[in-house]
Amino acid sequence: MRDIFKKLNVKADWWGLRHINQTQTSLSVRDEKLDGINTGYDNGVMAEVLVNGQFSFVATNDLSFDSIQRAFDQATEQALKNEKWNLYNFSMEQRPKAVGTYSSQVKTQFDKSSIYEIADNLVNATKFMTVSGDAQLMSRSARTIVSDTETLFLSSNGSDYHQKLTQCTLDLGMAASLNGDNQTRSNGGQVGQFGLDYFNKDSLKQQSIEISRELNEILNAENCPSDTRDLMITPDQMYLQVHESIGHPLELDRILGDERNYAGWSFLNKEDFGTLQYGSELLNVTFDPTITSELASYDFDDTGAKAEKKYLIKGGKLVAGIGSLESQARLGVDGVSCARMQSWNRPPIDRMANINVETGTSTMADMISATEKGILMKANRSWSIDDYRDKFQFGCEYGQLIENGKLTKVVKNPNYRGQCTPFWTNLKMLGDESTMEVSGSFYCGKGEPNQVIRVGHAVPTALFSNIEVFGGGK
Amino acid sequence: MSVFDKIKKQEKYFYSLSEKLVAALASDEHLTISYSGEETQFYRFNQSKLRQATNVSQNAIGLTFIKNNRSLSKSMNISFDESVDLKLGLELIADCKQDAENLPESQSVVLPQAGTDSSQIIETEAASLIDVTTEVLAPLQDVDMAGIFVSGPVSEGVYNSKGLKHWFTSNTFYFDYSLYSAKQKAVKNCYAGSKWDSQKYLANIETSKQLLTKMDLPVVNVKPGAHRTYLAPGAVSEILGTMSWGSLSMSAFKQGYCAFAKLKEGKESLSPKFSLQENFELGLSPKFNELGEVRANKLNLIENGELKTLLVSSKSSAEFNVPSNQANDYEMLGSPVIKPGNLSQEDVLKELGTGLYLSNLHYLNWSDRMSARITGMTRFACFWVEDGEIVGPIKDLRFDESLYNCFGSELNDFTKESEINPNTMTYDKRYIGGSSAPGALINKFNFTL
Ligand SMILES: [Zn+2]
Repeated sequence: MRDIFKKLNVKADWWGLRHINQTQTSLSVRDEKLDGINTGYDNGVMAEVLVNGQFSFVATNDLSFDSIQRAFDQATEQALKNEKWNLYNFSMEQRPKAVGTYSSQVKTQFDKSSIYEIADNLVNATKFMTVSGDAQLMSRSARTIVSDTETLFLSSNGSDYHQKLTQCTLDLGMAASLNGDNQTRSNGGQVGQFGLDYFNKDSLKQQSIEISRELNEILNAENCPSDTRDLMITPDQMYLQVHESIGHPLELDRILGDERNYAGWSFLNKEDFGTLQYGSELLNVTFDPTITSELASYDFDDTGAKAEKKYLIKGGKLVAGIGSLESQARLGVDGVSCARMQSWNRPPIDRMANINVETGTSTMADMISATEKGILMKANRSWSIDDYRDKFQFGCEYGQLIENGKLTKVVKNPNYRGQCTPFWTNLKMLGDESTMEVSGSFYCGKGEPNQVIRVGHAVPTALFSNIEVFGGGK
Repeated sequence: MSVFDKIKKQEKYFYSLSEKLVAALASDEHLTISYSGEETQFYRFNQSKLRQATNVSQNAIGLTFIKNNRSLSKSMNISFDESVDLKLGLELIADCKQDAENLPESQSVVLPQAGTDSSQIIETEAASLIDVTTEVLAPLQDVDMAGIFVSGPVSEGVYNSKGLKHWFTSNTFYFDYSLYSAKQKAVKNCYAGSKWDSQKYLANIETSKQLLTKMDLPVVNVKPGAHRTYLAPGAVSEILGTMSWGSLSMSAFKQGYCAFAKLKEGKESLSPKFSLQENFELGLSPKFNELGEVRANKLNLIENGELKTLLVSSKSSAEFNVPSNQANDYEMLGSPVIKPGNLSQEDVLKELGTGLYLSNLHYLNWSDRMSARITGMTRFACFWVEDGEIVGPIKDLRFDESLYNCFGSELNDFTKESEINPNTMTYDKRYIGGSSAPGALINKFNFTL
């Protein structure tokens, strides 16, 4: 590809080529058998030019020299043809020179036969999913995605950046029915940059036993009460609370209005940066590309901006946004290295990467014993938030009441709702390192054309005061 | 060479490449090959200007290989250069053979079947003859618009080791947009078709601009609680989209995740006014699925409130021993139509009387699957109405309501008129198809925040 790039004849102020080659296996096992397996090879290039202040994109999966030259010609023509309608006059400052390599640091690398070993271990895991008493087992499933993405970024101002990310998911889940009610329990969905060692047979077995026990508890539990009480959420719910009500509203392209027709905009304004108290003083949120096992750890984003750890919310105050060099120039607000593209066929836009909550000082026991009337909720099962990212509602798989400093009755169908800044202002205690987990999402959707991206969230358990909670039923 | 001549060549190439891949099979091996391709022009807009122009040309095949009671699949891009494509394709077939020896047994396998071939290339000009950005943007310079224009041909094909061939190409465009007032209130609309018509486009944006003036009325602060509510077709189709997500799937039912489980078991019911069918006569998507099975023109799923059948793929059919209705692999709705009712669109405000008029909904999700309960937000042009007159736009509200209520006991009626909503999803690739839905007047709809 480097040779092709050297030979190209491009009449533009700047040009860049991204070659993205992804191999991804999705494996699904159910009730001790193979439910589906697909290995996809997706290999293509994005030709990008800057002409008279406008970035213009043409993507193709034909990797011959002629095809790539044609893509650059077409990108240049596209920019010239639409010049008079250009929204903003960009420059090369939005495409800094990036040179280097980055590779996922996983313990045991995958090879071609790894998937057989994983399949056997997943089959074995479903054998340990059981229910007791009169409950009827409906399904036992184990799923994984193992994905390798290689990116080469070359540009006319000397960028030569090679990146190889190994990203995986691991989902264990089961459903069962008792007295006409179905309940489900999962391992909360695990994601990260990890290797074959993560699919350890004994660890999978232990997780199956654990979710079986908790599924039995909720099958026999009462519905979650409807009232206002303190809410404690573990990382398998906290990550999505952070994602939806901190990550998305902080995206600068939402504030700029790019997303208004699809994902929505934000309740935040330009003036809120540096002034708005977003949450309680315990709340410290960072953009952190340095945790190697987290999904979006990398050195450079897809425009060549260097990724470094940075505070977005410090002591509860909003200090910087999730915005690329393009958005920073347009809005005049400080951002991070977050211009990312789903693959070779989509242009880079503002995305979350690793958006983390820095740990606090409380243990689980501290938080439970400090709660008079509360509820613990684990593992997300439902989520929804408005297009300004303010009014949210979440549901979890497993609930347990906290009464007079002790965990008591298990409840089913636990849900809560609230509004963004009042909720984060009610953050009362924050878990320490022992409660922290590296989590995230493989499927954050946004953009026109639509793009999904993989984002990491390393978060601790958290306790909030006076939250509206409720149960299920029609 | 015209775009359609090129596509006809691509169709031929796909069959010829497929035949060569099938030739590498042993007698106990089976293969189904699917094709998807597109040449798409995207223009993304903000503030009635061009934010990003992107052109994407992508073509890929998927291989589903069966041997030894194992079913597994691979996919790869193709470049229409046989020296490149055949080499990689044969490597993948060799991998398939090895995988089939080493993977656990499949839940079920669906062997390829012979059948009647089909080829449909809908040769329309879409927006190929216009200067898109000028045509779209010039009449919008007096207003703040955000949105996306998408156009170009999309093709799907199937070939299997029994020699079955299917091909479908459509060439359409859509301009999916929203307009914003100075007070940042918005209306949403879409102009879609297979041939750009300037007059129709100008009429479409004029309707939106007119509605936008209503959004500048003072905002009414509506308290949560139960309200009489009209859901415009755009809002109903959002609910239909969520229903597609596991509520009508046989596999989801058997696995304990089906939102209409209680409807299926006869423990809950929907209104006799609610009927839902798969109707491929909409003509927006091919009738064949990814296995090359051809679906019936019409399939009644819910008739007068009663569940007639769930969507059953041949995979589920083989596993659960129930008849297949050729649903796709995920058992999602392919071309759903909700039967219209007796309410005239002109009378909607009068019939609503006092309550909420909701043009769109946003971010829907099941809040309690077993109760078929959905939560989501109001979005874009949503008004408070008193005695049949619009009072003003509302501050967005969250709803949380069971389909057994809003399309059951609380359903007043659907409108006589329906709207077709083209599928505008573009994750990974352009989706085709769409749905048809009327508006719905609901006696009591529950808002929580
Ligand atoms: Zn997201």
